[in-house]
Amino acid sequence: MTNTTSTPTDMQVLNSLKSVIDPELMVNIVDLGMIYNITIDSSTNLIEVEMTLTSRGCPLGDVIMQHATEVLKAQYPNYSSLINIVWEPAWNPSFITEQGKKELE
Amino acid sequence: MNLTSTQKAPNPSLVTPHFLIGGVSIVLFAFILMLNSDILLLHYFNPTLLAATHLLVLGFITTICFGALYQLIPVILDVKLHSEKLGWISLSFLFIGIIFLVTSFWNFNFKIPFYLASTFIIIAITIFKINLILTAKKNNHNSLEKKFILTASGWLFFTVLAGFLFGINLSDNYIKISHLELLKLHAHIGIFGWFIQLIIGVGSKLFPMFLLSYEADKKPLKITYLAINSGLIIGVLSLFFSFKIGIIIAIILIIFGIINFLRFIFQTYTQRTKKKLDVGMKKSIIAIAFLIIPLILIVINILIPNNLIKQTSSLELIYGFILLVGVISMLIMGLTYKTLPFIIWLKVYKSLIGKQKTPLPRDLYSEKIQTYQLITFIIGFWTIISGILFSAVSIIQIGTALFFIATILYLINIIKIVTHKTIEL
Repeated sequence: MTNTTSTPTDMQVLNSLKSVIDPELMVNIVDLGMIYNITIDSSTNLIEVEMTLTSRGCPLGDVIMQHATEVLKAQYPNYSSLINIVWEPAWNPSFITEQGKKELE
Repeated sequence: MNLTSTQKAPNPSLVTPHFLIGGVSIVLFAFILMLNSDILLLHYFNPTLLAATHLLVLGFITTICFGALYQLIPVILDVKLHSEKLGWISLSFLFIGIIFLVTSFWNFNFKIPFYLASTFIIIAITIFKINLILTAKKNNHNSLEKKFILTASGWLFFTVLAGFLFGINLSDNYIKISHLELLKLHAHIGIFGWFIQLIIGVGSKLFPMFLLSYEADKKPLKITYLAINSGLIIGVLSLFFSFKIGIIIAIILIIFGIINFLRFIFQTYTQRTKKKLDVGMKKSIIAIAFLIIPLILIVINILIPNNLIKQTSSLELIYGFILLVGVISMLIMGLTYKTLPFIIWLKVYKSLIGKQKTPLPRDLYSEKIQTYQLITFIIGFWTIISGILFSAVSIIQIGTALFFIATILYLINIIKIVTHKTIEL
């Protein structure tokens, strides 16, 4: 649900990011284990997301980042967002949640 | 911040003509086979079959490989293509060269049209190779995929040069080696040096990525690289010096290399996280599995003396048909659905992502058409093989008609993808 007044929690941001789907795998980026860290700074109204991609050359990386930014902008209009792509630790299939695995089967 | 692969992707206007020319070429190839089914019962060294084969290997396979590589280089090497303009110039020369070459073979004329064709194709490939080297130079990491792709493009150059010299030799007999032996050399360096090696290089990155399988050991691929390339060098030298044992050593090395690649693919496939495969991926995996059949046929050819096999020419034709159509063409058809829709989808929907609901890349083509294409392709393919084995033209005709339908369905899907316009959901 859109939250415009109070400070969002990590869990709320994580739930919002569940609407970002990897267009090739058809599973959301949270269940794929691509989100590493979420930092919410209420003094600067900044949501910082540290995430990775399933492969370094992922051709859809930019699109996934753009989608995540748009979702956060729509859900938390009073906050700006910053998506950082990190490669450590390198993503591997063990990061996928049980729900994600089910969707891939 | 570094550019992501999406930002490094080339303009779709460079990639799409490659796929369109490729799609039309395979339809024409299938059309020629359908109207001339009896040529598959003649010796493979005949004008119509040579014309059709070059339409397939250059018009379909090589043209799509060029286009797909322009799109995949940012994914595999993590750098932007050096020059899109060079890509365009290369395609223009290649396209004109193919028309001249196919006409030359059709008329079995190895004079001016053949010289023109060869010159155009050599220029096209030289420009492609320069573009590739300059692109690869931007990436300092000497990865195995990079080695495979660069070496494969080197063998492509050698294949075309050998084909040109071979063509001249047909009219002015200056090399004292049998034409059939030279044809085999030209075909094998093209198939194993260029196509198979390129497939291994690209596949070693794409298969783990699409199947979400990163546990497979990459060591077998290093062996593959060394075995295939040393095998090809030994094979070329042995043929020129008529050293028969050398040719057998070369064959063993190449087979050993491919078995190691198959081992890698098998591990990747069995350890995959993504269990449910789409039709494009199924097609690609079936094509890789088909690679085992020509390997068995090579072993039969080495172990059983030619005079004990009644239909040596038919078996050689089947061997080539499986490699070019069953493995390479089918794999390209499968991987088309894992490349082309993405670049078009990015172009059409990138500005709308996250702002409104958009279709997915797979919504750009018809899954139903793709499934029918797979069915008609597989049935048509095996019907043609059976027809050649039983020397039955009527069976071959049924097979080529089905194969023609499969190629039409493939072209319809390509056109659907490249002409896709924004859909609001």
